[in-house]
Amino acid sequence: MNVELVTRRSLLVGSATAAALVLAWRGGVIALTRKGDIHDWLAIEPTGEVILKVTSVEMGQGAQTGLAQIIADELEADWSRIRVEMAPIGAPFLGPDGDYSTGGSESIKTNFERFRGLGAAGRDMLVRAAAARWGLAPTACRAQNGRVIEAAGGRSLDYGALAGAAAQLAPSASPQLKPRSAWRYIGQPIPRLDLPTKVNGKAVYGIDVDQPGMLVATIAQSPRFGGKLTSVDPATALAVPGVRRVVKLETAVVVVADGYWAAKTGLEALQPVWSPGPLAGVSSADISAKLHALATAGGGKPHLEEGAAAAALAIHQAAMAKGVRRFAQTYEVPLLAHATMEPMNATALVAGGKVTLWVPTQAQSDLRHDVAKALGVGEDKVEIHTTQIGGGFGRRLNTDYGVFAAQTAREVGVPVKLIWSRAEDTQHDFYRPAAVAKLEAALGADGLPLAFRADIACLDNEPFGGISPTPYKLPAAYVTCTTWNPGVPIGAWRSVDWTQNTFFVESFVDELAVLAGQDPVAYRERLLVGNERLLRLLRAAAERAQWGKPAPAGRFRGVALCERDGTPCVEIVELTPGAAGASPRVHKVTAAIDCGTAVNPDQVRAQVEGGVTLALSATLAQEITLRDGKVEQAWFDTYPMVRMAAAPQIDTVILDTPEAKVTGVGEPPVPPLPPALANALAAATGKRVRKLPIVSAKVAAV
Amino acid sequence: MSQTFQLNVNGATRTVSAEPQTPLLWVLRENLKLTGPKFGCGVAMCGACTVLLDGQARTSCTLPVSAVLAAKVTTIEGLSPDGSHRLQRAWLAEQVPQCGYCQSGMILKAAALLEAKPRPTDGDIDEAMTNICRCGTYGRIRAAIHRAAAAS
Repeated sequence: MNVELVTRRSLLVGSATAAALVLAWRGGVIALTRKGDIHDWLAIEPTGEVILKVTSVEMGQGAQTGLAQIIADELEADWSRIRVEMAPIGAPFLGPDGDYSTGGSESIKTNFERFRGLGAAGRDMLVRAAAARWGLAPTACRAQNGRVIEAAGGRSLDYGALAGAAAQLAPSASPQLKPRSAWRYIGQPIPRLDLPTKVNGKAVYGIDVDQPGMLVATIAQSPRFGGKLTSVDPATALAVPGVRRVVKLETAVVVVADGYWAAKTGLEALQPVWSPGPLAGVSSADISAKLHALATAGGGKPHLEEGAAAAALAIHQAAMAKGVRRFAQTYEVPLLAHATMEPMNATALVAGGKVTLWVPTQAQSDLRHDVAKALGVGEDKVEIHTTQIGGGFGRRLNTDYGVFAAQTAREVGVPVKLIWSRAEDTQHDFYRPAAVAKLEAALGADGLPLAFRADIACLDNEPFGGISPTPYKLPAAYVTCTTWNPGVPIGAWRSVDWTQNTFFVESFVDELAVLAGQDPVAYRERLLVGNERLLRLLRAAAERAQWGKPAPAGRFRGVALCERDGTPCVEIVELTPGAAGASPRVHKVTAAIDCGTAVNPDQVRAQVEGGVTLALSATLAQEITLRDGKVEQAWFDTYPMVRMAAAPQIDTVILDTPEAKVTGVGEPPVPPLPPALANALAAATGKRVRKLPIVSAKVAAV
Repeated sequence: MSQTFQLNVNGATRTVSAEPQTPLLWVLRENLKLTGPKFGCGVAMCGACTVLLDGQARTSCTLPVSAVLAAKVTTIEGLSPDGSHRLQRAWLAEQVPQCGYCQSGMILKAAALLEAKPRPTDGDIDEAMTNICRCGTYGRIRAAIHRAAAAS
């Protein structure tokens, strides 16, 4: 770890605010700074309070607690005096891609090492400050729970009393990290910092924002994507008591009122006229047929650069010719909505040339950029306050709802809270892309693949995650993707490409196991030779699920696995198949996950439970379909969720790999569930589900 | 036209002025600034807006304020003065919430369940706890209800 030399300036800065120890982290460098500086990641206050700034929002994933655990451990902080704040949106806090956002299971992964370094640097300075005060060598002192203690004697000093003196010291060039055996917070199931306010109604989500003089609005967007507002007569809405304004936007109409009910009533009284847009006449059957045709034709963009692709294709074709048999199958997944429990909403005030937003967002820097652009102001004129978030799953990486709020507020001049109806939320999402994939393998006499090919057709651009490469050793692999999208908005849906590609790969591998007449776990073990980490995880899951023993009467099991950005996850589903046309009953899901080091094992478990349940709802009965370019689903009757009675027991095994990099856990539990469920169904019925969902929502009763 | 209503909310009489058809949810959230009850769907399908009406769980998003009359309304804010109701303690002990958005409704629904069935079976919980949690906290909710029941 590099450390900036202490300059005269930083010393002066230190003495000016002698009471607090404030540390910055910038491009791998830890430095002393002052409070209020944009770099102030970590502050030890004269009160002994420790303030950690983070760029990870809290949307249920518990990242803020995990990040605090990392700092607290290396700092040897008193847990009861740690506070986490959202960092301002400034360059030092932007991520490696130049953005300030929360997604991709990145929070812990990105910050683990640097937060350890920051915490250790702070601890070292506090220890040295105490040693100097006592006239001892630093080695004669140790830090413990927010105090520095004289090892030989009984003296001790609180961090708060030492912060000012520590701020006069230079950060060490190589602060000593604790050995793993000395961790006190990392690896412990510490209760979440945000939960007390989530059981007493006090947590403030975006929808709970209240500002002086605030009005409430609701929105109707063009029912067809890409359609524009042609005309609307505001009179019928303005006649509704409480309605103040009707705001016409390019693709939407917004009704602003004293409260939500008046706004909604006003909106329903309008008869907006929309231009048809590019999706007029397009239905899901058309999209599906086109994707099937493209996947069957193959010949999409290869996963490799041109030269490498040609070589890979030659190797693939040669290997295909050597197989004793060939096997090909086609799989399909639908569009999916995020359907967060808190509908899209944002509060905005445009006044004095400045835009202030209060938003449940996962994408602060994108939001600031998009609002500035939409309103024609500089980014420095846009101020964003992040609220608690009632579910993200990737939906709130999009900025549309914040931009609409800002555009509305500009017309109204007072704070406006724009709340979408549930139907609007369902029908104007950025969906998990629909995709079709044709997979093919040439098999040797031992039933193992000699060559593998996948031709994907997808609404998304080159979604190769989880399929190129797969977690397996699939020789002579060649993967292509044809991107085609008639204008459906698509976005990041918890675990992105992996959601569809893991279904394709793990269904296909299961079919190969059946063809080879081999047990699905044993067959996968043969394909995982050399991948000790995933092999160990697969065996741990199989053992916990009692894979080797027959399932209880009437129940059947299926297995699937993935490796999402360094985190392998294995799931085994145990179910009873339903009657024809009905959902199966999933009794139990055994999951095994290895994120290197589980910073908070209880939260890892929670993320597994969440990912499994989200994926189960999707697999059983969720799909977004279009009819004449309009989304057919609106509420939870047509986009049904697993509820208590259908929720399986979820048994999670967490394995650590201490030498591995710490990786994320929000997404990896999602991808294995759909194929594990489909594989269990195939084991039960001999019939394989190759198209999701299993039961159309139109008849499902989850 | 707006009318004046006297509501009994969390043990206090509150006077509000609202259109008679306005759902109780919005009166609680906007007039009385009690934002614990949440807007999830507006059509009584998700249960995020659940409150207690004379001890019975009820979706407040479809209940006109004019129909509340003298019923005693309890929101999550009124379940206990300091968040120490046995269900709230059990919810923390089991670390139930993830995003937390549905949990006010879940806790109140569980309160009504325990009132009717002090020792609910898993089947009782399946039957009563029909609200949606998108984060998948169902297993923990089940454990927390059993824990709270045992604490009574």
